[in-house]
Amino acid sequence: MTKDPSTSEITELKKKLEENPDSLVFAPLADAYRKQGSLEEALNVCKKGLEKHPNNTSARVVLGRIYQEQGKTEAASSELKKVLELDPENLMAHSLLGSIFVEKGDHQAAIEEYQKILTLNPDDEETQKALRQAIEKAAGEPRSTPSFKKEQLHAEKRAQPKDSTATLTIAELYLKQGHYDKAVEVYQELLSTDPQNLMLRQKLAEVVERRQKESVVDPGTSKLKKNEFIKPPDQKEDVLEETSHDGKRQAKPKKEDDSKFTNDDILQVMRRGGKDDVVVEEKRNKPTSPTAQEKKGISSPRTPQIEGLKGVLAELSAVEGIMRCFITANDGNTIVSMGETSNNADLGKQASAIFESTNRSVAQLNQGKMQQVLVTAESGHILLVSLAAYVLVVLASSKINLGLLRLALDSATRKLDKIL
Amino acid sequence: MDFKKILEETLSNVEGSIGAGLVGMDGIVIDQISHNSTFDINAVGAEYSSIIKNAMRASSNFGLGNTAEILITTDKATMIMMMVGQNYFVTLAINLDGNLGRGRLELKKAIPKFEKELT
Repeated sequence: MTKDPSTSEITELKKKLEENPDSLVFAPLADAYRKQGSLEEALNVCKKGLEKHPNNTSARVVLGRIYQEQGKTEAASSELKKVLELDPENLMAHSLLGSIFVEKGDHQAAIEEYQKILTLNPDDEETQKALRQAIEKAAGEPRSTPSFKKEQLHAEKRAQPKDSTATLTIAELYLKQGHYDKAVEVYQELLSTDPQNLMLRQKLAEVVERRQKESVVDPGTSKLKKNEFIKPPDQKEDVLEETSHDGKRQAKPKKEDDSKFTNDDILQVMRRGGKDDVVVEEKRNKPTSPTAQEKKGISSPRTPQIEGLKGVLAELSAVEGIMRCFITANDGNTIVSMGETSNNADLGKQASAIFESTNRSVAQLNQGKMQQVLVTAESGHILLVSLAAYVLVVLASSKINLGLLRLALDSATRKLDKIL
Repeated sequence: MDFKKILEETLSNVEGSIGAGLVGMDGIVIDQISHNSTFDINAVGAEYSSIIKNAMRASSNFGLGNTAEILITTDKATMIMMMVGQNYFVTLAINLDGNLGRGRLELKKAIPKFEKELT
């Protein structure tokens, strides 16, 4: 569906509904009216359909949206909560509720909704962005909450300990930025509502200890210390070990403007994905084995290009979870590879075959120019990226973060396109 | 067997979805639904099936086990294909401004429903 559905689309959906009044097509029809701005018509269609299908969550989501656009936020919230009673994993309902909470200025509640979405779907970039904005807004608010809210929080926390993650996230973001005092405040506030929470106590003790150490260490090393705090409690051992090896490591330059949370901050905290720079460096410096095709100079680009391609592949293979990557010509000959090279020729040919059949179907469907194919199997992913006359083949483990992989690939593809 | 109902539900839950279909591994389309007249899975069922077979061979040769999902990105749309048992797959096409993550999740939620209908 397009954002601004044409009248013909509405006509088509209307016709389908007329042909079969019991059809569920009423929901997309109501949504099409909503997108067109015909909110009253949308409301009528949706309500009429819901009389026949009261448990249809998709239609209830549409109804919630209609109410939201009519400015009836209470009615919208009520509909979306009904949806979540029927389907607690309905991402659209969580997302819309989040936006309603933002509209109302209840950023903590919005954060909770967005976190539920990211728990179910960690790669949802829109929600990552929305969460980042909600956290920024929440962090800008005074830390103390009205007393009635505190009481409510206290009661909810007893019933649902997961609710505290919203504030924990804020605390962790503060830690990442080196704002220890603010992090301590957040932990103290959390403890005031849940004094028996050992995990919170441990975290608070850690931060207080670190803050004290920080105040006496060389300011030049302080950034590295701050970064250690993004490690989750279950990686505490690693954190201590890293501290003992400080002298061997180079602190990564960090943006000095810490006034805003960056996408990286959110991603690192949400995904607990702090990478070990040493490991990354080791992988990056791994020597590469030239393939037989490279040695013979068959179908290979010029030597400076090969070096450039190897550099980009080395960067790509540094992404945690990537096991091997290589560039193959459309005829299946490997141009350059990184990581394990066995069987590359056969795999290159299969990659080309997948590309060829995919290209055909994409052309027949009139769905534009092919860019990427991602194959997900039981224990890993194969990613094929179109590069003019070549195909980039990436093999990744099943545990890789697909969102991060896509980001890394976007960057690599741009560089490879330039070189090739 | 109301496959269309499951497809309709999936489509209405995914912002920016174009069409969806349930296809046999022999390339024959069991059912499909489209919000865009240019998107007709009937025309490419066999091609899709061939893509999946190639992907299965590659997954096996890479030592990655059985293929579960294929995602094709073009400059206009993204197509997701997910296996439904061993003999069928379900496909969903989404506009570039659609929510791909949600599409994948909704499709995963739909698979047990299809499997139930198919057994």
